[in-house]
Amino acid sequence: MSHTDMIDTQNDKWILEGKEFDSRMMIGSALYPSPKVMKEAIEASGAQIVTVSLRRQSGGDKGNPFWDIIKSLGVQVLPNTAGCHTAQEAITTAMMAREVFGTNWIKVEVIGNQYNLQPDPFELVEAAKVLVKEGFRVLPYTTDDLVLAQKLVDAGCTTLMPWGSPIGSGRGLMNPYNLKAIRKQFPDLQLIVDAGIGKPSHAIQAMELGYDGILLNSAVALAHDPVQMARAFRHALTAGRLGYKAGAMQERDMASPSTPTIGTPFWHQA
Amino acid sequence: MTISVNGEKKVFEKEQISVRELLDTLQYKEGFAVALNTTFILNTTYETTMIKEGDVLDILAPVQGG
Repeated sequence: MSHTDMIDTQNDKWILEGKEFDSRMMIGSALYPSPKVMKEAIEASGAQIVTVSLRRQSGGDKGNPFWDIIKSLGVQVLPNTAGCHTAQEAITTAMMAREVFGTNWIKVEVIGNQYNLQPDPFELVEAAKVLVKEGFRVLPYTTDDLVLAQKLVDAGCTTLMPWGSPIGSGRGLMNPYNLKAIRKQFPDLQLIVDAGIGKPSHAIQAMELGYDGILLNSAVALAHDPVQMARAFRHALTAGRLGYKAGAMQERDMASPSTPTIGTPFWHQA
Repeated sequence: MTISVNGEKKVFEKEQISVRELLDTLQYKEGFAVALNTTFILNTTYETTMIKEGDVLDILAPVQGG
């Protein structure tokens, strides 16, 4: 992180689930052209939280180069329950993740529809209730539904991760109104836009809405130059956050000249 | 007995074996977690948890995720 960025963020530490971070970005570890690019992109992003997952693995002492790279980065890992379709599957996966990754943080993802990978709200709330009781820090991937947000808070979640648009779509914030409503209704929650971010401007928009952070993966991993894009997102988050804290001007329907009108010379006096 | 490990059928002569025996046989060393019939098995109970005919095991390890 450059000196300038440190000045921007030094009085704006992000406290998430009891831990302190300089960066407000969570970045995924999937879809990169190579492990080397993944490592370089994560480093360039400045992110201190990296999402990971679990899948079947055969026996034999082959090691796990991917996991070795992630460990070498010294980041907070955020395991997900990607691919789960029921609360019970998500609960079992979370417990396995806690043992393997050595963290009680879990991004709970329970898919209800294969077309848009929309979370199943009913199974999600059920999984959240059980996992909070089991001592997990539950970070639920959710839709931007206000009522569902309340149910997740009732279940014990202190961080919510509503989607911007479907996973991997890169369509940005489909419904800023809903995201704004969640921000307004839950001023004390940590809110993270998770999924659908495609460009740095989408991240800026989310941060300008007052969201506390961004979780992205495809936008960086599928960029022509993932490392450069990671750097762009790092700056976008800083810009959006500073813009939000600075307080944007009110929109107006009519134009209003910015140059003083008093002392306007001869050309309007005819 | 015949069991399923990560979706593949495995045949053992014994009627039952512990999770530990199975992991050793299949050469799992470290960095994984086990579910037996979709229920998580703590690594401290591998010796005492027995696998029987028809059981289904999933052995998962870290991979990339978003």
